[in-house]
Amino acid sequence: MSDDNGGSHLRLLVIDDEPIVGKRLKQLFTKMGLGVETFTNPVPAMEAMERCPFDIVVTDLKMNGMNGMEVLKRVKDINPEAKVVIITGYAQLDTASEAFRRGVFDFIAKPFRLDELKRVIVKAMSGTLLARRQK
Amino acid sequence: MSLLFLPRTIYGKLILSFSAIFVLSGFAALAAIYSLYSVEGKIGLIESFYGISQKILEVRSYEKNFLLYENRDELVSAMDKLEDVRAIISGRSSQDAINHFVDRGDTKLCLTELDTYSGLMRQLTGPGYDKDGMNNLKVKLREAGHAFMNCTMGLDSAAKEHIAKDVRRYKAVAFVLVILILPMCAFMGIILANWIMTPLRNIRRSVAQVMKGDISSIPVESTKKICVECAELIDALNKMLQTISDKHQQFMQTEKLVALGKVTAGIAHEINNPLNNISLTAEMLMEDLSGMDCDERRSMIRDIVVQVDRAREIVRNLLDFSRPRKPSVWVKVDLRDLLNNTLAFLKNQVRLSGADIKIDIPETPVITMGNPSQLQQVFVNIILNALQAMDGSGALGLKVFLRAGEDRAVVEISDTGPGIPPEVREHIFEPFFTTKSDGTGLGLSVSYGIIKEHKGDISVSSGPGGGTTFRVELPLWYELDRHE
Repeated sequence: MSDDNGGSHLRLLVIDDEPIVGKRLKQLFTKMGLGVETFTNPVPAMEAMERCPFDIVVTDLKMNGMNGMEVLKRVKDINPEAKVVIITGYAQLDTASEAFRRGVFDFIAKPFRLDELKRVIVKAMSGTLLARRQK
Repeated sequence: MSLLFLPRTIYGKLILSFSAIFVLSGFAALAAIYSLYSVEGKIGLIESFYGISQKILEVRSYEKNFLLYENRDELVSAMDKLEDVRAIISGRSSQDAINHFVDRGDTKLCLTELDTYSGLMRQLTGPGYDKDGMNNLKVKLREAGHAFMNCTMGLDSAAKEHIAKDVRRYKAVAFVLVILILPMCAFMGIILANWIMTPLRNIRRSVAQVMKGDISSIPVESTKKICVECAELIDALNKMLQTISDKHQQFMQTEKLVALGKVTAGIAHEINNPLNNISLTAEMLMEDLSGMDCDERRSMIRDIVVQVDRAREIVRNLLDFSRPRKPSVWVKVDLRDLLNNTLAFLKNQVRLSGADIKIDIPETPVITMGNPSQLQQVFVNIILNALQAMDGSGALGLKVFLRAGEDRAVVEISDTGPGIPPEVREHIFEPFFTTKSDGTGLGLSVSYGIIKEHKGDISVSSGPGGGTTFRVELPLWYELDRHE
């Protein structure tokens, strides 16, 4: 895996109103060399995104204040290159296809295995790095 | 005690009553027939007396002719007629009823007079008398004729008086019969109506009690002894009540399952979140167990335990809601707790819908009596409707307050949806009435039934600018000593 080569350049944003999700993902991905910030409320998360765009965003779908779809749209507005991964406790086919239409990188149903998310994030990372290198 | 001798069926009672009336009227009819026969006999008697007086008049006219013209043939004819009269009076003729009605002594006296009269006639028809003797006999004959006529007239009037007395007696008997039978029939009518009506009235009273909810079935024991048909009717009614109650239960359960179907998204979300937390934490522990210090591990294990509790709570709520409960089990219910549980149950559903929620619940307990599961079903139903009406945004209001001056608690659940048009509002509590393509039309009708069973009221109002408020009123429950 290419965890170490340039991982520190990449920034990961985790938005989930379950604080444990943020805590665990921060533990995991910090270890993998990403710069991780976690939020339980999407509104301040978007403010942080505007201040300094993240490369990868992991967001819950159903949240107070703003839902994952809006987060996806805002993130793409700010940084069209950003990879957005949506996780949700209640996956419906129409929501998933809608998300893909709007350019979501992946759509993961809760409860998910850590490996599953790790694989998706690694794929996103390599995609981002590849694009950067091509520039 | 007297009940032991009564028939136990309406059929038997009717037969008994009609037999009694038949016997009474049969008796009256027999009496009337007897009177008619007697009167008929007496008409015959009057006719015979008429015959007698006709014959006597003829005899007297023969006598008069003899006295005037001294023609002895007249006397012979008179004697013939007299023999006819004797035959009638002495009872040898067919119309011999006279003796029945007239004193025998009187008849004998008249027969003696007749003998005297006819003896004188015979003397006068015999060989010649001198003029004096003849005149003497003529005077005697006239007197004897007169006496005989008087005697028969006496018989006649005695008989007439006797008949008049009899007729008076029949009239009295008929009158007495009417006097006796009328009240007896009236009395029997009342008794009969009571026999039949009392158990029916009891049934009506019991049905009213059942409808008020005081009792669940009509008692049959006391009726069995006095009215078999009524007992059968009660059995049938009770079976019907049981069927209705079963159907009602089925409806409620169906409605509950429909409501449950609506909250699936919320429940899935609600359970998947703690499961996800548990899975993430456990995997992290597994992956990096050796790299963590003791406190970190303990904190992560505590996270797992807390999340398991959370999932268990959700499942418990779900079971509480979906489990069929006996409708008759009533307990004290604090509406505040009930509504908080309901909101907890629907928390994620509310969150998923994106609506804000405004809660206004008093600090002090709001106690009512009822079946908590059924009441929760009502509130779940109303809240789900409100969320559905708002479709994504808006504010759900939940307000609990006591109505001033009355022992009633009011729960108002409002939404900021488009409102309900009046033509829909008037049918909204009817069973199977729905405006949703996937609706069963049971939700609000079942809610209505539940609230009415709890002696409460449920109503809906909608402003012209949209927004709907469901208002549920329930009687407050007090400790008995607070009333005293």
